[in-house]
Amino acid sequence: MNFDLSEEQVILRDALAGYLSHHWDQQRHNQGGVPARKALWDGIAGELGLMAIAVPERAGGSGGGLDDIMVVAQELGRCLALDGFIPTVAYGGNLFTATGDLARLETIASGAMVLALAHAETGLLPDGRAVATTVTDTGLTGVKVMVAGAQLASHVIVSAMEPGQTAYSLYLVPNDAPGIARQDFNMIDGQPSSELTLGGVAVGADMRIGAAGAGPDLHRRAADIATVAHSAEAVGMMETLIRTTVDYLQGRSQFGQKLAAFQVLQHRLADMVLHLEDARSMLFQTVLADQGDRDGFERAVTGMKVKVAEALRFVSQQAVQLHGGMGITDELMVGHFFKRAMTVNEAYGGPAAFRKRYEKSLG
Amino acid sequence: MDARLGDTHVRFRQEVRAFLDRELTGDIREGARRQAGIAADPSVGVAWQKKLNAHGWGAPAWPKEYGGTGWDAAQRQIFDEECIRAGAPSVWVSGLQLLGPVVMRFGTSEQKAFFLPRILDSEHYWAQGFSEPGSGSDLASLQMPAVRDGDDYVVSGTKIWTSHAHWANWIFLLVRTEKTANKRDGITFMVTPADAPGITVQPIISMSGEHETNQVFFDNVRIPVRYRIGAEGQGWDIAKYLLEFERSGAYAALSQSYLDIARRNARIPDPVTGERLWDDPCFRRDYADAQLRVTAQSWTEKRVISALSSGKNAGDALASILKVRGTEAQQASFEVSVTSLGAFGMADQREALRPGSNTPPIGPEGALQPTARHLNGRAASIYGGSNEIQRNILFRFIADGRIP
Repeated sequence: MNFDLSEEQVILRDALAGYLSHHWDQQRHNQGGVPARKALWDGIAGELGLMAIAVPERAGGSGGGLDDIMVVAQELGRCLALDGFIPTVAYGGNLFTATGDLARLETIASGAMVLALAHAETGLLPDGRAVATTVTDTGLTGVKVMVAGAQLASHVIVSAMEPGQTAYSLYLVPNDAPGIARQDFNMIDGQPSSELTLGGVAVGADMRIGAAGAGPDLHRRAADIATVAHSAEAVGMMETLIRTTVDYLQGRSQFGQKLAAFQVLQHRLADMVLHLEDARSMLFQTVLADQGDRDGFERAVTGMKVKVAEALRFVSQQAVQLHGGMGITDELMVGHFFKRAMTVNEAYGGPAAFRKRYEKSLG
Repeated sequence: MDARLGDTHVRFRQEVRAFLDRELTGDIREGARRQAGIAADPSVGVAWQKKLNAHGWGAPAWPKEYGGTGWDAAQRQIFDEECIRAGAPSVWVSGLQLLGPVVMRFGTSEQKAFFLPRILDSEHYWAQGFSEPGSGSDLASLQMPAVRDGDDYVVSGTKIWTSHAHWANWIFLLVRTEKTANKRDGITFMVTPADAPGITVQPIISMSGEHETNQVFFDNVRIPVRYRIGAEGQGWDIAKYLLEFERSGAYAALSQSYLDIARRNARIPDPVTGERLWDDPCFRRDYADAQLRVTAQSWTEKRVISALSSGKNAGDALASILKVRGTEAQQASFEVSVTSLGAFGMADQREALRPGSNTPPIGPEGALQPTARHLNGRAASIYGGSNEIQRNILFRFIADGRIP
């Protein structure tokens, strides 16, 4: 047994860390908006070729696995960078691998394709499984809400019901297709997001991903891979949060001693680390699980999500608490990590949806 | 034991409800809905305060001789609860709830005659300058020197977390007039007009994107000796007295109002399937857990009122219990109200939350406040004596055998 990263993975991680330290900072994260995010995407795709990481070699990729996605996502999490990576490389990469779509995988590998998932609708159910958007002779019609990253995306993945189907299908739609009206806003973590009104968007024969009605199955598999990536991101975020909090407690004095000298705060930090290491163990278990064993992998993913979300919530809330008043300002990154922790936890349905699947998987 | 309110208090609650039904007009209600922080924007809060004052209810915590209502503790609690339940704006506390009682207790007759009526009719809008960048939980370590020069003190330094200072026309301060062996002894309480030469207010933006608090810089600001409250060196006792007023509150009512928002959101049926989040066992458990916290808290609040009514003061262990559990109940309720929104809980609603905004929230109507409240609510376990400090205080009561 060996849970160390390979030599190649260490090189990859360090290269990404080096790139981010030069090209991504608090200023760009907080105020850079769409242009800064686009520039980072182009830089990382162009200079590091990272979008090819999990694309099969036969489609021009590096043929990496879930462990490679983990290495990248964890590093991105440490710096709150590149929100488009997971929907494109983890989610989209899995979709097109499942459907054997080599052409689109090549586009992902090149960095030219940036994806946003247009699945959720106005209902408040956690996993957005109820789809009212339709696809008919007049095209795609419906409203998609909370489409994270739509302002940066080259394409959106739209779920829609075809006539005569009981389950939805997935479509790959160019973001500039006529008939898409976009209303832009930000998410709390600063991610550009949008509501999309689809007013009869023309659908070409090659736009459907997989078979008619295959959407739920394709989506769940891809969302599970994306959830592994988000969990790796969460582990990276927790590492930064804990490090930052320790530094703060070691630097600030009250009542004549360093805050780090107070036992109650020492124990709090220890609890934060205990949560982090639970999360890391669950992540490793899932990354190393056999994806061919559907039931086993599902149990691993859903269980991981529950533990990671619990850990990320605890660590981010305590990091804010231990930073005192500074923790709730816009000035320190800890508040931005706190908000990103909320959106990471909520991604692909939130912990409750995963908990129910985990409970069901116990038989 | 008897938890029922007496007839006079029952009638009082009805009177407050009738008043709120009548006076809480649409524009004030709309303004209040955009309050995600500790108090309403002054454009709303001051208008409401003036209405309250016109009715003789401008100062619920003040005795009648100073223009207050003379209400007992139970009446004040009933009033606070009903205001929250009805969706009234939270009136800014610094003048009414904090400085007012201090002036009454420690001020000269000139100071009482000058300041109290001006607080009451909203002419003076107050900010609190206590914390400094290096003095938060350890407030007594504050450094800002005030040096006597003729009939003035000359004050230089900086105060932080000075909420609403960008709207305030007066600031009350703790300053250091003497370097003493016991650092609590050299602290003095004084007040200054916010537009005095040398005062600069610098915004601190919160993680919800709002501008509620500030850092205030003092560069050789001259404060006349007549603006000192109490004696030199008496500031710490005054601050302790004042903080007792900061730590009381109707936590349960505010928490309940967010559980009510969560309930309403969760009961909206899905337009496609008709399913409701309300029927989801995971959501229900989170909701029930928060409800239980709020229920326990509301009974703790009743006990505090009962203790106050029988003449005990709020500075005992119950005040710390109230603060720790109250803020925890609030945070749990705010979090559930975010969960009730599904993905919409992740939207930044700051456009819709701007005072006077006509922009609808992203998502259902009930999406307007929860997320910003949740973000701002994280501060409640930090300010007013952090929950860690409150637990230290509680331990001292336990160690001394005063509780349980």
